[in-house]
Amino acid sequence: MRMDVEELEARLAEVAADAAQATTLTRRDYALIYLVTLVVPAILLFVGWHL
Amino acid sequence: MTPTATPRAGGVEGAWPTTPRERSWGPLAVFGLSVSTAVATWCFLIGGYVAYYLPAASGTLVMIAGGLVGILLIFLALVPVGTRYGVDSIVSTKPQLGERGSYLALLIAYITLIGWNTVLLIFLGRAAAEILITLGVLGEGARQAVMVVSGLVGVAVVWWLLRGGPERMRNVGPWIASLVILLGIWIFVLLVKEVGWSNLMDARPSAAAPDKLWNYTTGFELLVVSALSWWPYVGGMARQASGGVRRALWPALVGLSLPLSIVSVVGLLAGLAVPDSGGDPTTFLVDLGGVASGIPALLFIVLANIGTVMVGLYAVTLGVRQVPAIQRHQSWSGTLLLSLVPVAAIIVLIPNTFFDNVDTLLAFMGVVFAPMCGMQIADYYLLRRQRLDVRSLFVAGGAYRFWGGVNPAGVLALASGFVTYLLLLDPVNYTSNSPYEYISASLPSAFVAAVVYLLVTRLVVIPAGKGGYPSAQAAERPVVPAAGGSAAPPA
Repeated sequence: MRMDVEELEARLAEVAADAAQATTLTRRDYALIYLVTLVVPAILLFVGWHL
Repeated sequence: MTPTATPRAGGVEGAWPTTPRERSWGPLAVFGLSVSTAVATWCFLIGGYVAYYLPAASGTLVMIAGGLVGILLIFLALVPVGTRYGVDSIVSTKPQLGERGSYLALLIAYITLIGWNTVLLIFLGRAAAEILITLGVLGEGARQAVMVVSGLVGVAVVWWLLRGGPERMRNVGPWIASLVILLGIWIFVLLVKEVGWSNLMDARPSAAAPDKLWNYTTGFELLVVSALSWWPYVGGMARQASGGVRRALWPALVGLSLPLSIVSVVGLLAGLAVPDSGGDPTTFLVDLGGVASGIPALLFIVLANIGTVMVGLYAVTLGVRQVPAIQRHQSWSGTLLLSLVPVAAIIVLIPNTFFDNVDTLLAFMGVVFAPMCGMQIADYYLLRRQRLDVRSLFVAGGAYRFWGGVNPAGVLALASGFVTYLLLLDPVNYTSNSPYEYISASLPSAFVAAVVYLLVTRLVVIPAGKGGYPSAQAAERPVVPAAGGSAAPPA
């Protein structure tokens, strides 16, 4: 039990430290994501409707 | 290869967070696992459903669009949080549902994954039986017995491949993915060659409604729901991705969305060419292309399903290990067996009844995962600014304790999204109410769940100082290891 507590604490500390400095998605990343997953589908739906 | 810590009962193979050193899947592995998750027999069935409503050309575009939109919800809800904090899909719901409330997510995921794994292994058994009967190894009378035995062999193979931990899955997944993509292309070529391109393009949907817009929206909705069904799988993959969210971004997005749409298009074409097949190639490929083409197609199903069941079993086992008693007393290998017992039982006892009611399983997933994603996105991006208290995810009595371990905002959000979906579309028999034909069902369901979550959190949860939001001061509590989460009550 004690080992579990120590291991969990060590693990959480490592994850928290990494998360604090982890890179996140940039505005450019989000712009590309939305381009691919929203704008492209909108175009596909428009084209498909007029086929 | 990135050094990997030795897995322990409470480590990688438990439900505790993976540390950066343990996250060993690079972009290629993430892509491979994403593809092998997406490429499964259900894609044919999904395409076959779309073939009821839409012809080939517009159906293809609608399916690609629906797959991309569905994956956006899944990606935003799970991948950034999973890669940052090393948590799976179920743990990632604790900030929204609460320590104990996340057991609702566990139950939903468990039912979903057991259901899908069972469907896939029964399908595997059917394909194996077809191979043996086509080759003349066994007679038609042995079909049922062979199907059951083959399904059980599939259970044993998957357990054997995964018993050593997720590393084996990483090694096997990309190979299976590459193979099934090639075989999927083969099926497509065979359809074009034997049926003819112009015949495929001219084929009419077999059960289209009079309203063109309704057909169009339903084709879109089917693919959104299908993509949402990856919810239990994606967190399990994201937590193993190395190098942060930016490295996993495109492999996950592309790997999960395009293969789903592409293979589903094969099912669409099959459903249009052979309406009675419902997109299932096992019912016609031997007749259409002969033994030489039919056997590889059946092998495609066997291999694809093995890969997908591996990912699904990994995810469901992680979830089961959040139950403290199992985490403490069962090994990883033993927990795998526990996850496989219900699958094996269904394969033996009611394989045909279960397989004939897959649409009910699909319906279940559509109404639960859309609001789940909407709620998670609203919380992580708009309320928490992409910051979680990782300690509270795994230590009982922390910021995500809420009231008795349950966050009413999350429960209300899920319920409101659930009701919204049902008001717009009855997913069992596909009868709808306006304005479904304009806005579909999954997207408004996710939106309503997000809005309800935001409102209740702003008006009730944050003023009460619950949930660890910026304005709340989370109390320090002693550490109580809670088997990857929250089951243990506060000390």
